[in-house]
Amino acid sequence: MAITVQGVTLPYSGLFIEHWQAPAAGVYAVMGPNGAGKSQWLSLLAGQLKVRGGTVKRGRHRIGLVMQHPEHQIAEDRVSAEMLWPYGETRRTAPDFLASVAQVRTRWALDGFWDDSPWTLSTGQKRRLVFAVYDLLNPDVLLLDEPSEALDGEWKDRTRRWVAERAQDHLVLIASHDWPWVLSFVDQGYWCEGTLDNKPRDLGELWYERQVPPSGRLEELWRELLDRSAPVGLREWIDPQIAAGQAVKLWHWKHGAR
Amino acid sequence: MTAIIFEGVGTDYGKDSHYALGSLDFTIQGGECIFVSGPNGGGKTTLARLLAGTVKAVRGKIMLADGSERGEWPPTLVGWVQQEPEHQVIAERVGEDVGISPSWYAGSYQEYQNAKDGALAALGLTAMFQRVVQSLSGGELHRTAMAAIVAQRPEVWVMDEPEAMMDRAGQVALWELVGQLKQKRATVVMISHDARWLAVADRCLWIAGGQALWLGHEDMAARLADPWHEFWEIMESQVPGAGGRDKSPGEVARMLWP
Repeated sequence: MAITVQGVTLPYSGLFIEHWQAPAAGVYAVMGPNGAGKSQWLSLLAGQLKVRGGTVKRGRHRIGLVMQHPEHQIAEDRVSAEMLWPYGETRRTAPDFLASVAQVRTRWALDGFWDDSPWTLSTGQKRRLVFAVYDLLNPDVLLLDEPSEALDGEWKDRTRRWVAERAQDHLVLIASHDWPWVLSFVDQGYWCEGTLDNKPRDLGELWYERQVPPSGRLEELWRELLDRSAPVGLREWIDPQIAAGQAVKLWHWKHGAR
Repeated sequence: MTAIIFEGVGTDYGKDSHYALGSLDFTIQGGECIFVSGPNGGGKTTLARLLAGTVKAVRGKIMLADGSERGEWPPTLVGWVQQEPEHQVIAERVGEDVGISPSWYAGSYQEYQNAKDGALAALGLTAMFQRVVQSLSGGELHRTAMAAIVAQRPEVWVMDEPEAMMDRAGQVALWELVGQLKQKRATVVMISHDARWLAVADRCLWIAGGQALWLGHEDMAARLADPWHEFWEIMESQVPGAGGRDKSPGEVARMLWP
């Protein structure tokens, strides 16, 4: 893909990007501490952040950015208008377009508040609305900034499935602090702190190497087991069933019954 | 610490809105930590707004144990960490925003300064006190919003998804803060989709479709698909007598791989 960033230093965060070239397709995570420049980097790729030095080439790709705060991307007084404003009257009546709209409405469960004001929605529902807008716009590259925030468990699952399906033939970059969520379906990622990795790395290795404080007891258990060189995988803690299966094996091993 | 009594409380956002909450009939005891969860759009944030006084009960009343209704409560009694920190942070710079509340209640400049500096330090923001808030990342902004409530010194804390957009260092600081609040016997209403808060909750409240339901910890864990809970359900079914659900992850790791 002809999107490249070279020799750019971002303001405030000071993140330096020596050279970065976008992969052709797939889903990649962008991880790093608060204030490291993850959101700025996505804004730079989307063309919303101007920098004084370096070069940013975006080619002719259509790039969509779902921002951290869904309210930054809502402007209309009806959910329907928020979805449809980018399209002219002719397009709006085309059968293929109407079929796409129906599919997107169903995917993001918007039917119940199609004629409501977006401003009356909860934060999780607003985020779903912005996902739906970009689902319909169908950009070549989709940038998602903290997409799992404010979503309940069901919608985290549904969003994961949508992103994974989309990444089969599109590029998706996800900035997040939600390690369990991204590790559950993203293989590779970039670490962002001072500098940006120029090549994506195995996300499980990144999680272990960066020694981030654990988000929960199962993650903490797994880190302890890995530190003790137990024969467990880097990502097994993401799924409690897999983790339990592995722990049962360890238990039997210790007690002499395999 | 005073109790908060909900007596037949109900509210909505006008006749055209689908959203309503109530009737709520319960008492939050002074010093309790209530963990509130439920699906998106269920009414969790409306409960926070009722406690904060930004939404009024259209039916019933919310009272303190002395009978005083919500409109009569002291302005610093309830501290509300909002889901969207941008709704809350209003000053130009970090230090100014954190200092707003002490500038009203402090009896001396020194008291003002101590309250502000202590709150900045509690959230790891001391070095950032002069930063312009528009330059902050989402996680840094959330920490600023939280520090402002620390400086307010409320008796009742309402925290709406406080872990959102925070890196692990910020989450550790938040966890320590909540631990300190519990030690001080502050009243905490913690709204989140994150099952980790079960560990500090005295009681659990599930809000869905505008209705509130008290749940035991086990039921709440099951509804939130708490990974630790799910892990031990499987472990205990496959290795009878394994034990360890209540042990620390380090102890479990030593048990599994000495």
